[in-house]
Amino acid sequence: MAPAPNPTIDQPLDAVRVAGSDPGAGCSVSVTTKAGVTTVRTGPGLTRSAVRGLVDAVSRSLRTCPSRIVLDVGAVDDFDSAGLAGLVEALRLGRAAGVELRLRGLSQAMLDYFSLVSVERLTAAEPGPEPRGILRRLGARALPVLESMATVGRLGADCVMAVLVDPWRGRRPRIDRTTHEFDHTAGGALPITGLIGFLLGLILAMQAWVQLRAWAAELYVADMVGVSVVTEIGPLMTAIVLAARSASANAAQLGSMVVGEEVDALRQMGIDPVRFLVVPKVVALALAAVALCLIFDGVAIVGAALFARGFADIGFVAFGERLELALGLRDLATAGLKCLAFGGCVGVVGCAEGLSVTGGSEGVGRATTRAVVYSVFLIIVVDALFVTLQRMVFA
Amino acid sequence: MSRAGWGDAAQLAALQELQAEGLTLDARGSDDLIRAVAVTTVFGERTVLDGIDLAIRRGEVFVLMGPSGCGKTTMLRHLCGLRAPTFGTVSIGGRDIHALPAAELHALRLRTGMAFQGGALLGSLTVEENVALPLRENAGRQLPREVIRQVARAKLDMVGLLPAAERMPADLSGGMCKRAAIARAIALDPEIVFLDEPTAGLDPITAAGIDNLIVKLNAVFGITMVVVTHDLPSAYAIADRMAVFFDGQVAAFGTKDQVLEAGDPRIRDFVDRRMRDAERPEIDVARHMIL
Ligand SMILES: Nc1ncnc2c1ncn2[C@@H]1O[C@H](COP(=O)(O)OP(=O)(O)O)[C@@H](O)[C@H]1O
Ligand SMILES: [Mg+2]
Repeated sequence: MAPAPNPTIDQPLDAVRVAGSDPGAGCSVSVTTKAGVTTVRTGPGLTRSAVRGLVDAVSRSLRTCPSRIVLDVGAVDDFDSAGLAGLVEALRLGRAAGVELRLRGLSQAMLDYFSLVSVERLTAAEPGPEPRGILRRLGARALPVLESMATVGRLGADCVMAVLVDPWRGRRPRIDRTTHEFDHTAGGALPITGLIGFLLGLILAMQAWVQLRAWAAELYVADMVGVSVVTEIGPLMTAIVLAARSASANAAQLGSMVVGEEVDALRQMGIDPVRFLVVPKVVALALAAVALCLIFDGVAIVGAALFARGFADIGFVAFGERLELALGLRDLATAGLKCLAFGGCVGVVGCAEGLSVTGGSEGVGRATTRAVVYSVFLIIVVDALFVTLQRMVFA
Repeated sequence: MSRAGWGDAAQLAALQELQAEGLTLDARGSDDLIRAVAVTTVFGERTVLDGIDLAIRRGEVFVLMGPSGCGKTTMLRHLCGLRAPTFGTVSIGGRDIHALPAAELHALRLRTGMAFQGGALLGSLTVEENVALPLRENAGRQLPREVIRQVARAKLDMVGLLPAAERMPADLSGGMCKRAAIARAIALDPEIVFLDEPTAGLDPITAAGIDNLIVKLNAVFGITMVVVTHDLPSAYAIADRMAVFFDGQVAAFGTKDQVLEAGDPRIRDFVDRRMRDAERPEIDVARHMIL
């Protein structure tokens, strides 16, 4: 680190020490005390390897409450910035302890280094973090969640406005972007949704059959599976698949756009990011939820029927007749509405989290996680609301 | 810029011969610390760098200049060992850095620093933690935490960012990010520092401060500086020698005076901030009016 003989980088690299890391070189620190003045002398190498010894020696000397400490670096012929940082740290410790600490024997090279920084600033005492009461800490935890909810609410209202009101004001909906998004979300989620649907149909039929067999009521497998899949499990599972796939993707995409100032650029160009980016995603997700749920229901019922035929001796025709009796148009309609709501929630939560990203790439990661967690949570809440409403209306 | 036929067998053979020649040049006998021979970079169909030869001396401030998009950043990435050129070699201290075994490349990296064009600070760490990171990861067991902190704070003080030490990179202005990146680049007391556009987009006063810092770091520590810039005043203030890139080739090379005396019209235009005829948009109002 010393200026004159530059370390030679062209020696075989593995043989050359990494600047100032030679083990044990000049670690020696000697401490002498005379008439209340403690002198700490460093060895010839004031480098990374020697710093710990120096700082330890100084803090040990400080504990003996000397009237003054002299740090003698006259013997130093090799130093690096870690070594000098050790000196600064020693000065800071002395200052904090209220002991006068002097440097002696600084070479011109060290003075040159110190000319680049301000020792005064570096050794200044910093105010510690101010203590916070329990209420403040609770608030600091709860506030982001509340803010998140408020953002989701506002964005949701914005989207509903855009979908219901804009067309009457002569603003054309963005069909092209919506179909593009639909293609991504529904098309991409199709295989996994189908697979989950088929397996769940099989599983539910088996579970129902095991229970119903005890009452010799195997035929009701069709009722149980049909009703539970169409009214609850279908909408719920598709929504959860969409939350995992699309809420996260939307949050990450919009979050990166926020970080890259792309959203601000849109705004500045007079393009509303909600109508340009968010509404197509939300509409596409709502429609995708309906479409995927229909497919899920169909595949699950096929799975259940196959099980019933294979293991429970219930023919396809009998299965179908039971289904027809058990399921009404009303069930299908509420399921459709549910799907629209779930898909909308997944879209709005993902986009809201994405748009409210702060703090660079880490913020994007946090938003992506929150998008999935909050949208699954919101789906359950909305489902509960639906069931309550349904009972109130149809009871 | 594009040069057809690099795939041509005869040309390839010629190039290999050239490379072989370059490799036999003994770098140890000379003052050259970094040497690039026939560096050629092809992105897809485009030849961005076309046979660049450079020699950078130990302890000098070397400036790479040229219009934006001419491949300065690409060249810097070759020089610091992040990306191997399509053809040609880069050697530091006489050793081809793109052929080094991993352990030696790592050792080399600990002795060089790079400040990226956009800062490339880690968004999840504070400014101070960003600067402390290379020390913490590479010498964390040796050094007490407080000393690592003091090193980071000293480097931040050198670039005038100590007041912002606790802030997150996302809350910094572009210029502050650049300065923090410089502080991080010198965290390990490197012997070579690569700086990509350290003054671009900064106000003249801050830019002059950075120039001053570069010169001081060079003078006090003897750090070899390789600085990419298209900022002329800055280049003039700091450069011991410079190379000017045009169309993927070195149009001029040497001290400031040598570069100016070379008399390349493109460089004079660059210096005089004149647009080249070929790049001037053609506005022929008269023709449109007549037709
Ligand atoms: N990874 C890459 N892939 C394709 N093209 C690239 C890549 N990196 C750079 N380029 C192209 O190479 C050219 C030079 O880039 P760069 O070195 O960044 O220029 P400068 O730093 O001089 O402004 C540019 O035209 C850029 O588009
Ligand atoms: Mg560049």
